[in-house]
Parts: sequence; C-alpha cells; structure tokens
Amino acid sequence: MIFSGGEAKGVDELLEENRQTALGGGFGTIMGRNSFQRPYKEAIELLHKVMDIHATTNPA
Amino acid sequence: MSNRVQEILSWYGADNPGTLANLYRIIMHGRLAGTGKFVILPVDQGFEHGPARSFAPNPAGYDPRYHFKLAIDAGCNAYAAPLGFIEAGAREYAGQIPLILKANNSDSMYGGSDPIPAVTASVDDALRLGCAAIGFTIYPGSAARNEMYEEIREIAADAKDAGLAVVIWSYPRGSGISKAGETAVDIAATPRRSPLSSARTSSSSSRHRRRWRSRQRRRRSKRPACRSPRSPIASSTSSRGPSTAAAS
Repeated sequence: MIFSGGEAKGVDELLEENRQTALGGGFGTIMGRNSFQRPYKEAIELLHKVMDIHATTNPA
Repeated sequence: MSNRVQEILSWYGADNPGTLANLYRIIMHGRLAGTGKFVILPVDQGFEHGPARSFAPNPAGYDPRYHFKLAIDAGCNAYAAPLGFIEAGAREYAGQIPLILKANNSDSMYGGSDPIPAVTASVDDALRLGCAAIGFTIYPGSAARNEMYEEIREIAADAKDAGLAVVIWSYPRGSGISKAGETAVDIAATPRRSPLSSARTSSSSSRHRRRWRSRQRRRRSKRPACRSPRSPIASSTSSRGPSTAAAS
C-alpha cells in the first residue's frame, strides 16, 4: 500500500505525514502537487527527504 | 536480490514473469531501489483538477517533459501520468524511468457527488510507450463503483496477460459515503495486497475475458474511428484523505 499525497501543504506537515505513513506500515507515497508546484531544486530536496524517511522508518 | 525484494515478489505468485519483471523494475529503480519502499511522482492533476490550478503555481510544469525530468532527477521509483503526458515524453526519456500509464481519469468540470472516470488509455498504449504498469482509479462509495470494478477487472486481466504490472488508486468517495467516512480507518484500510490486483486466476475469468474481447472487437468494428481520447494534459492521484495506491 502506497499513500496518496493530497493537496499541497507545508513541508513539516508533509514530512510528518510520511513518517506516520511509514510507521503505520505504508510502502511509500505518491506525491504530485507537493512536488511539482514547488521550484525544481526545492522539489528534489523535499522528495529526497521523503525518500529518506521511507528508507529509514520501519513500522512501529 | 535482497530478501525484502524477494519477499515482495513472492506475493505475486499468480502473475506471469513479465509482470514480475516490470514490478522488479519499479522496485529496483531510483534512490529507494531495493528497499521495498516506493516514492512515485504522479502528474494527472492537469486532467483531474485543471491545468491552471495545477501548474500556475510553478508554470514550468505546463511542459509535460518537466515532470519526466523531475521524477528522474529526484530518483523516484516511477512516473505516473495519463496518456497525453506520457506520450509527450516517452520518446525523449525512453527507458530512463519506469512509467505507469493512468488508464482512466475524470475531470473537475462536471460536479456531482458520484465520481465516474472515463477509460482514457489502453494496454496497447502502455506497451507502445514502454510502460512498466498501468494505473487505474476506483471510487468505492460512488454510485458508479461497480462499473469501475468491472472495468479494472478487464483491463487488469489484459495488462497481466501482456506482462504489465497493475497499480490501483483507491479513493473511498461518493454519495454512498459520508465526508467523515472518506478517511475512516474501517473504510479506508485495506489488506496489504489489493484483492482487485490479484483477482484474475480462475478459468472462468479467462472465459469472461474472451467474451469481453469479442465484445470489444464488435464495438471496434461498429466504430472504426474510435481511439482512446488523447488528453493534451495529464493528471494524478492525490486528493484528500488517506487514499491508497496498491501495486500489483
């Protein structure tokens, strides 16, 4: 199960949502508006942070 | 191959080697390769929500190729989009990232409480464009949900016959469900593997599929000019709530 991102939101909220998803056993995220509505470099940095969360967080 | 990747692939024992190979491509691509975790860039918002609402905040995104590059440079596992957006970059970026072709979509120009997406792309389109998977949205809770279930049963069977993986976007939404119900855990929670994505195993489904194909042939012969609509702009996934996409 991969979680759908939803409407554009702040970075902290988004990262926390991804942490909770990973803790709950989610396999990752699909993240559209929160990626491409940000400037390019910012989007890549944010995607990397999200990937790191999923790579390092195991289900509680 | 890591144990985790082997474990994930073992869940798809009913699927053929082509489907498993495409699933493996997605698992092994990008920064999360081999972890069994996935971050996928979906861009169907241009179709689903409208181009200005989606791309005006960052106008570079009006160019469909922007999103291929973003997904590749960020190291996503895959890039998912409707037909028009995939066609716009499939040649330039061929082979550089696994692609998921969204095979149905709905726009936001017609209101109403029961979403009913149109089938906007085919398995043949996915094969022609080098995609690893097709994607499909269902809305349990919509009055039209059973049409979506029947459509995905048919297109998933065809996709798996062709060795493609299948990804379901599932949003509990529609007149059959309350606003609070859209995010209720007893409604939105699903088994780890979507039952829909592994629905085709019996011989009765093969018979059904043959009947469906002959129906499609009859339809095509009646409407020789009928092709899937080409959307100039594509779309995506998200919306409110803990909606899920289940990969198969």
